[in-house]
Amino acid sequence: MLKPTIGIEVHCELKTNSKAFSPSKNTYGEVPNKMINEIDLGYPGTLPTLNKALLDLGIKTALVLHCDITKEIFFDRKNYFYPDIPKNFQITQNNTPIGRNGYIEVQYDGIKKNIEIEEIHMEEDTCKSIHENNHTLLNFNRAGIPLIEIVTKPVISNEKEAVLYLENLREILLYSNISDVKIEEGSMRCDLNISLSETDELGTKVEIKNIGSISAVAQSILYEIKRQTKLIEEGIKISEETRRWDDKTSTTILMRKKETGNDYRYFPEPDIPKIIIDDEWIKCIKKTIPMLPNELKEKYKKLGINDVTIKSLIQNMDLNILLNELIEENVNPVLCANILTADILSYMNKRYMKFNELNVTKENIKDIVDKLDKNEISSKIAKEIISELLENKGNVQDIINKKGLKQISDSNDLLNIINNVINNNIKAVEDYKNGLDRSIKFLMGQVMKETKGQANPKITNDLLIKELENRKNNNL
Amino acid sequence: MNELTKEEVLHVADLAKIEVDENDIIKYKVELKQIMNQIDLINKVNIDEEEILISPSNNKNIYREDVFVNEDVDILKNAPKSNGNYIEIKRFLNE
Repeated sequence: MLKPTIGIEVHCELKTNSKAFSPSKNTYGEVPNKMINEIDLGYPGTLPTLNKALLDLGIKTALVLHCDITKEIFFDRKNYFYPDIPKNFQITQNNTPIGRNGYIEVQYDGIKKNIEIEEIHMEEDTCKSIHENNHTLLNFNRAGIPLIEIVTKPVISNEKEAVLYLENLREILLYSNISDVKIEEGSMRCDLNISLSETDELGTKVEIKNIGSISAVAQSILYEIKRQTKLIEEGIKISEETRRWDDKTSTTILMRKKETGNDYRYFPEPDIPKIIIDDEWIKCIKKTIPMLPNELKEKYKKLGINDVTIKSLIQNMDLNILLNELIEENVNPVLCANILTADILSYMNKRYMKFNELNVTKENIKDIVDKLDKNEISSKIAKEIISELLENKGNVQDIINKKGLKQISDSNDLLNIINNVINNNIKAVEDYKNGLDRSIKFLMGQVMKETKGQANPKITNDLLIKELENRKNNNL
Repeated sequence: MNELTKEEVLHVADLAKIEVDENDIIKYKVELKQIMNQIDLINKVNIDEEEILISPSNNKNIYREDVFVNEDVDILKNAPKSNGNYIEIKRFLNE
């Protein structure tokens, strides 16, 4: 049977203030051709100046992806003539990639697998080209933005592994503040290599470029496996070529033949002196690495947060930072995680907002969770307070006072309400006497309705059962 | 062999993005081979014991801090053709 083997190359723009080799601003979405200078445009006589943040983030990436760090590095020139790089070479790393032999762990269907990373290297981005009718428009704001390229070994067996690898990589780079990994804005881009073979020897590889989303990665893998299988079965030899993914037709399309390997005539970049990375430097960078998604998942599990909640928490880094700060302040982690994912996250997602743009503050969340924890409010009231805060800002206690939302925990008050409810629902009481337990639920609901959700559920439940038993035993 | 093949010349011309005619090809077959021969001479030098030299200076760890400077240069002024704020060139991606 034909077995697919897949390798993935990911380019990520690094979160720096300035570009890799010039002091122009590293930014997205500005007026075209404004965030540039002579270096980005490759004017004759200009010299690159190396950004220290590029090295710091390169080392950081190597660390979070478990790579061996190359201690003595330099840059190389990759030579080619193309309008996206007017100086006719890209400054990249060919000989001394900053990291080698890393991995990312993926888990699916009970299988744990390390996707091995061949190497990671630092380079500069090219300008953005927009192709229209018979002309091409160039925007040099992107030219020179620092990139990290992460290359796996050909070890990925299917589209599932590819998607998990990319999702995990994305989370790691986001949480460690290396890149904002926005695929839709092009700050994370994926290329694939796919080959099919019946034996352990790899088949002819086909490269697929321009894949604009993680779901398109899965689609393009499935499409390419089908296309290549058909050719091989018909006895046609696969040719080594570059194709691109086309979203409109959901197919891969052959691109022009590009330079390969030797044609790039790599040689060391003479304008940037060697960099020696010592242990002290690495130690400093290590200190800047926060807890990463896998460790967070473990931590949350130990705290008793359920898997579904963990999964949605991890999707939002801001909420994770908040949750961890609140856990430090001794709030109940499970209640807090539930509130953040159920009420806050859904509000944020619907409105494409970040936590710091909401009316709700960290102190609000702490107050609500503490009151829930002490049974001063029910979860229904918590929801009501949150929706009030999201709309109008404010103080939790003020809202409780103003709206009369305080939980009723006084037994006498509750007993009065319970007796009223029981007297008005004789049928449910009869059902209970006849052994129908679910009428407790119905009566509880009536008490909650009567008190607008303010009755302390635990005390009410106990009192209700006690009262019903009393009536049953005394045949009242 | 004292000259490159026609295919080799065409390949180099393609990398350099220049058009060559039959006369050019005849000329470059010989000239490029002469350059190659010189490079072969360099390749014969034994450098096993040498450290790779990437720069004439011995400087190490030269970098700048990550601060941006906005120069606000008007590059469109130097572009043969512009379109809004973009530089416009002949379409170069052909499928």
